Amino acid sequence: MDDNQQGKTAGMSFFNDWIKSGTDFWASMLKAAPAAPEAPAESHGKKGARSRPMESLESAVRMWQSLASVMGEPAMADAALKGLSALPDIFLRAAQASWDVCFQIQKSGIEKAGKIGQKVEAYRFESLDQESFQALREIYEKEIRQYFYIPQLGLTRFYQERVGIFLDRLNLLEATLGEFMAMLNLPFEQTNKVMQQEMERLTREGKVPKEAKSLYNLWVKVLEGHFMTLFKSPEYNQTLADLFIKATDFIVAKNEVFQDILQILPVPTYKEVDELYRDLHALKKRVRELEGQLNPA
Amino acid sequence: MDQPKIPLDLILSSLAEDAEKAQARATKASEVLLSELSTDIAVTPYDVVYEEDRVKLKHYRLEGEAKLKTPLLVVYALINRETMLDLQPDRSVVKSFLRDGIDLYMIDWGYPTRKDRYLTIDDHVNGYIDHAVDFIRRKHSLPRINLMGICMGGSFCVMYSALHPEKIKNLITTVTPTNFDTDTGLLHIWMKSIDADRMVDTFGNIPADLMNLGFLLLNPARLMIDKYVGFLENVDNKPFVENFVRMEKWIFDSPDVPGETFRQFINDCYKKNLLIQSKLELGGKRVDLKRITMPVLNFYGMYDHLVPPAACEMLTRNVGSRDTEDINLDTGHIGIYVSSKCQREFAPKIARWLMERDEPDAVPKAEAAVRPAAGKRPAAKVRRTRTVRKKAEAEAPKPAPEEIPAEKKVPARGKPSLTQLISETI
Repeated sequence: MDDNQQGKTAGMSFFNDWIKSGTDFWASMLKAAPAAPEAPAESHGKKGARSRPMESLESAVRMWQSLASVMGEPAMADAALKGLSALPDIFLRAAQASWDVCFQIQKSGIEKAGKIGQKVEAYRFESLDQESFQALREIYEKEIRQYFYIPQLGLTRFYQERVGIFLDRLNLLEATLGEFMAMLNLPFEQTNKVMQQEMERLTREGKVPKEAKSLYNLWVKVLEGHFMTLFKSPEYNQTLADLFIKATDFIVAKNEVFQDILQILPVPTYKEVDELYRDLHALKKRVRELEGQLNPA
Repeated sequence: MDQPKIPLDLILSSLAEDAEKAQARATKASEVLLSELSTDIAVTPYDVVYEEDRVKLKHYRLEGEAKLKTPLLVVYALINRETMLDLQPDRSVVKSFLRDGIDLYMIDWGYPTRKDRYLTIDDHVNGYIDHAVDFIRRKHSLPRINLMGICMGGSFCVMYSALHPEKIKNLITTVTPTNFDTDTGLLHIWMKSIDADRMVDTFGNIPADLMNLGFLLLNPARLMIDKYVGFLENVDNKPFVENFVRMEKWIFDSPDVPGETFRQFINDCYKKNLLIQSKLELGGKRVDLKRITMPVLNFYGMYDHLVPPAACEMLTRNVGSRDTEDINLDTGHIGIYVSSKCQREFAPKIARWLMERDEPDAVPKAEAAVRPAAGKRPAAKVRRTRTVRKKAEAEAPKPAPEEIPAEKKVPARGKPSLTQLISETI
């Protein structure tokens, strides 16, 4: 056995050890994860919100296992060794430029490689997870909301009522906003799944692009498609409409409270000023009409 | 030995190169960003010749003699600002018009405040636009002037021309929605489900930031992520940064929309589609499109997602004019005005079209109100439709050499301008 072969064997042994330790780490991570209670939504035949973190973790483990199996191939190990042997030079160059940036990109690139999850159909959302938000809203509406509507008494009862309405509307807005933001996050989740699948295909076919930009371009294109699919869904339009309603309700309630506060201060309120503007607008129109009658063109 | 499935060595090498490039770019970027940048927009000189409330009438200074006897009034939308027509020196519709000898006026709608919340479409059309038109007619001692509208401003011009045909010689509409009964494009879908009454009652005027957020949400992947990734990739390129900042300035320089105008536009146009049916009423008068008897030139963008072709192309079929032309450009909503390709086709075509219809008004004023515009009036009703596509560029009539001044030619930059890409995306 010559020196070169000896070096290769030692390198491969190190390489295999490294892969094994990585696999062990991910497997222990999966075991360490607390068992998630069954989400109520699952009983309706859809994946609940609580199953998604577990799903992501399982995907990550599968990704690593897939990567490990590819890395175990002799050709792969040889390429990796070639890369490793060139590492001092590469790292020196990279460190001169920006070591941290390079490391982050490398880490991200390796983490994203490989097989992840089950087959994911692009431009289709399996579950929009509205049930969990619906459940939260129902809990709020049944258990908490009535406290803001306890009949108020005494001199300040109207002011207290308005503050109660303001707090209620604020909570409803926050719940709807949360649902809307979660919905906007869906295209990102779905795109990442599709990208992992695409990476698996590229890895299998040996066509992994060496430039991160190619992957980014693909990611943006897929993300755009997912957003378009989401925006055309009735669930999104319903949530958007709800958000508008809750936001306008909140603004009206907020203005009512602030008008009460402004009454204490020597400043006019929107209500008063709007009335003035309405009169001014009507007057100006009337003046123009009269001018037109006096000086016909 | 087999080829490796993941070329780790090449990836690492590429990453190292990228890091080096990024460092070089970052170094140069700081020089660019800290240097004096030319990012002013709307720099073509003009005089404000008429003012009413928040509204101003701009009159651009001609460099030479006017080649057209009839001045042109441009009416922009109430959303965003008219500065888009003069965004950067090498892509300015305003400059192009001036070079072609058009005596150009433009309405600057200004920034509506709370006191403007009760202004209706009628106030804009029969008030501000009518007063501006009368001012120009008086100043030039002309019975009729040319009118050009952009987007919502185009809809206003259509309404105005139907209500005051005796004052308009030629009408040009660009990306102008008149038929709102279409589900092409998210905007039309959203606008139909929006509760305009609730919004106006809550906000008074519709906040510009809210509308901008809505526009960004039409395509977040491109408009909120990819656009800025593109900026970072070119941040060391000074001309690129300058153009990008100009575009950003324009996009986010958005006035609020007067509440009652918004309410009427959504309810009467988007929801009831009254305009194209000649059922819309302004100030107690019906807007009858058959009264639009002057020549009409109608531009729209093939890939316009905000005002899709289906929203624009029905106009010429519903007006009373015998001289109409549709031009469908191979671009998006903003691309018509800012893309270098459209700069070569759009403004010169308008100048030529107006020149062909610029004979002085010999017809008495009263008669002009009921007769089609003077000029080359065809014996029978003639409608022309032209689609301008990239692949047909070679066949498309090329503008005369004098229509493309040397300074207007876009300098070669190696790759397409991001401003252009953004505008196409919009």
